[in-house]
Amino acid sequence: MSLPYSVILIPFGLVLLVWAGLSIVAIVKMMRFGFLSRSAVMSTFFYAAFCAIVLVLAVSNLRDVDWSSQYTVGTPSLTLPSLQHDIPKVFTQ
Amino acid sequence: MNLQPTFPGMLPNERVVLLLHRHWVTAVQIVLAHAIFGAVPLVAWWALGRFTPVFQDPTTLLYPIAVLGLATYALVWALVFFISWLTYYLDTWIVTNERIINIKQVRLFDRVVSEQKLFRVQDVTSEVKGPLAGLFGFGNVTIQTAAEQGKFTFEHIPNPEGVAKAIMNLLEQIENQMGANTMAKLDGDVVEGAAQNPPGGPEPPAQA
Repeated sequence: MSLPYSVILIPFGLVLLVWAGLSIVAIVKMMRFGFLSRSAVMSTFFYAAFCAIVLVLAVSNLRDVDWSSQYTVGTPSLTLPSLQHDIPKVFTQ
Repeated sequence: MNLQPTFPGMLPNERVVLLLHRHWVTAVQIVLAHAIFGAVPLVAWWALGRFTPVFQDPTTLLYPIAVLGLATYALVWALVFFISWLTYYLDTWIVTNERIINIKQVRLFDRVVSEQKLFRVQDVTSEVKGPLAGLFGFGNVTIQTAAEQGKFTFEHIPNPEGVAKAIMNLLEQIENQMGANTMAKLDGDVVEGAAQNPPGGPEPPAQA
């Protein structure tokens, strides 16, 4: 059975969805209860900047990947060339 | 420019006197613990590039798996770090000219807020425990109040002696404003209230 490379984007997308939800909750809490102080704003900014850098790096590194390429799951079937004519006949009558 | 901090639920004439977080030494412990785990994707990125052909050929399946795995790790690490910082930073004690507010951020979705009127404060104790606390000047301030939930503890705050003194000064100001008689009456109300409603129910009348 062959699967396209793009299948591995599904679990990544799910993790990213949960991550984004928790990030939004954390940022909203920090802004709401952090008294909008310099430390709260700066830490939120650094967090957002770091995550943006990671995502940009990931996307730029994945640009060259051919997502339509197929990956064979399990043992791949091999078609070997027939060698029966190439084996020297040692025992000839 | 002196910006007066505000918080949700602030009363009209209320003024924030002290806004306290735990000492930065406790934050350094959090940062150090996360820094070790933060180095993992960087080391992995370097090792995969140096010792394996994973990053040389983007057509192989291992390449996107490695990139997505490292990106996921970095994002989750950053989120866990940010939430740890949030629980440190939002663990706050606010002393205003009217009350003491204890805000405990336990986890991301777990937040406990308790408050007490300043005139109910009976006793303020500061303590500095351990060599690290002595070196960096942080410790605990325990505030005993006349309420049911009798004790507030400000944990690992900087300059605990100064904070205790500031609270006592505030208390003196309130006593001066309200007058000793009113304070005594308020204290009496509290004591009477406690006597009328003892924890184990009303006492039986004394036998003559």
